[in-house]
Amino acid sequence: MKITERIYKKEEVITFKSTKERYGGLSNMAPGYSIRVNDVIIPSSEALYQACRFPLFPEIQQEIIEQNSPMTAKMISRKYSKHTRQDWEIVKYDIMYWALQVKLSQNFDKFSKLLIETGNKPIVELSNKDKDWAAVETNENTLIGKNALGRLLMQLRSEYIHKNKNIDCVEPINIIGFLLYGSDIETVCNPLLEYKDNHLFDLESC
Amino acid sequence: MSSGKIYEIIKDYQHDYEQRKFEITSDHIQKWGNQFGENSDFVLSELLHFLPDVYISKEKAKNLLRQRLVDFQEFYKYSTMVEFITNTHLFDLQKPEKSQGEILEIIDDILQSEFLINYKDLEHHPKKHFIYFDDILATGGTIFRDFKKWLDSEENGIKQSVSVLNKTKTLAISLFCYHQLGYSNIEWQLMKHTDDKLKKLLVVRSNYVIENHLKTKWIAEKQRLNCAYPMDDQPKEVFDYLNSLDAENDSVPAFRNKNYPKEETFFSNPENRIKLENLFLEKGIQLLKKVKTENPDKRKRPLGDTVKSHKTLGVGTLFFTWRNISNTCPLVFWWDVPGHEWTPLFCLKNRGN
Repeated sequence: MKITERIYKKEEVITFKSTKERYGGLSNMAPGYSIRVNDVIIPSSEALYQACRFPLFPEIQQEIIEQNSPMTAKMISRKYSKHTRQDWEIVKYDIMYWALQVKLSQNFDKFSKLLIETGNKPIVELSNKDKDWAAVETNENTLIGKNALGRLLMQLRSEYIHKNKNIDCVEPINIIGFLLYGSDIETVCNPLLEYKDNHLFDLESC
Repeated sequence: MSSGKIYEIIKDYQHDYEQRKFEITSDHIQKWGNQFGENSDFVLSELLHFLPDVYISKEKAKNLLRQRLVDFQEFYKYSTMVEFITNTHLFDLQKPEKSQGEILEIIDDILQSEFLINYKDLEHHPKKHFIYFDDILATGGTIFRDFKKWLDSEENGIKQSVSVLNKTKTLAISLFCYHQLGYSNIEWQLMKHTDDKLKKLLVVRSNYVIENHLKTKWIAEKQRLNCAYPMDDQPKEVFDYLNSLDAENDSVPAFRNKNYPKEETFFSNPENRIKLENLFLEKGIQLLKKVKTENPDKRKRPLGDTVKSHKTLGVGTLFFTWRNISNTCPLVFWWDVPGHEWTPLFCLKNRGN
């Protein structure tokens, strides 16, 4: 996946920066969008994404996943940057899109509602300096950057919300070494579906 | 003789239950062991190896519950037990024949005799702490259903879940034993049903943990696998049985990897683990084959009841209490059906097959 820089007019787009704002739930840092992959509970899509940088280092993955704050998870990831998978720059957008799909599948009611509320407007993450994942305000009305997260969110909205496509389960992406804690990442599903279909429990124990 | 030593450990099994079907005696234990033929001595001696750590007698239960009450009192920062109990509600949600009622009776007894507290006298005092006592959490279905119902209920027009999230009430579970996988499922479903914050707010105390998380290699390598979880080196009958199951969910592995556990800390050695697991599995399948009903219970598996959609051989619980055996234990321990020619070690209370 290749993403190039774009220019946005602020008044024409939906922006998000702080997780406490109206569209803050679109941020990977937003609390309340937990995920479970391979039976491991992960507090945010940011922690999941960062953990995927280190498929051969389960200890680092655990340190990232155990953080309450997604920002701390990101900082820990930076600390170990030399252990990042070698093809990271090639696969990182695909991994982020997969993480967003999982976020949508496992938090469908809340996250789909937010995506619906953005209508058809461009979604832009605002940042003070990150022109890769977000866009930076250059003057009062102009935003410049690749806005990768915003564009992946728009892709998600287009693929699943506007087309009303089912996202009950999300398959792992087809890349080498897509591992969590030493095992291949498996298909993950909407927990409400797992509950409704009695996939986790139906037993009257003693 | 192993049967005599086993008797000393489990002699109080259902001793307080008048309708018990048979008495625990050395002869009864030996009779159970003899059903394994030439492996009789092996089965009894291996059982004896781990039984002291996994059998909770009534006396031991009393000690554990007493200590648990003291721990909760300290955890919630009360200087006296009466102050703590005055502010605490002990859930009594299960049916009368289930474990919760019996555990609450013991707690009541401890409070009255040792702390001179009559819990019932304090019932109408406003409560801050809500504690769910139970014996074993296996798949967790019962606890999840009870918690979900309570969290959705209201007191004075305020949802209980809101009170827990804003920390005006606390929620705790106290167990003798839980399965790691079952607890993880409960935790996840409660987070999704209520709020992610519940993960940090729910207090869990348990005396023993069954480590059976096998989904990821790195975690699985550290698990004790202190349960019956056979490897896939099995005869055709086992695979025929597994394939015959009307269960589509393979998210829980039916077999353990041969490399797990990395270090044997539960059975006497790795070879004996394999042998005992396979004996329990083989006998369990034989017993299930005797069921002639047209609609057999889909939860019944050779190594113990499980979630009916799971394509596995059973939960394989190896943990026992004086009051009743969990049906998530291997069938050889509790199967008791007329005409099936099998004498269980522990008889079931108020539960059919």
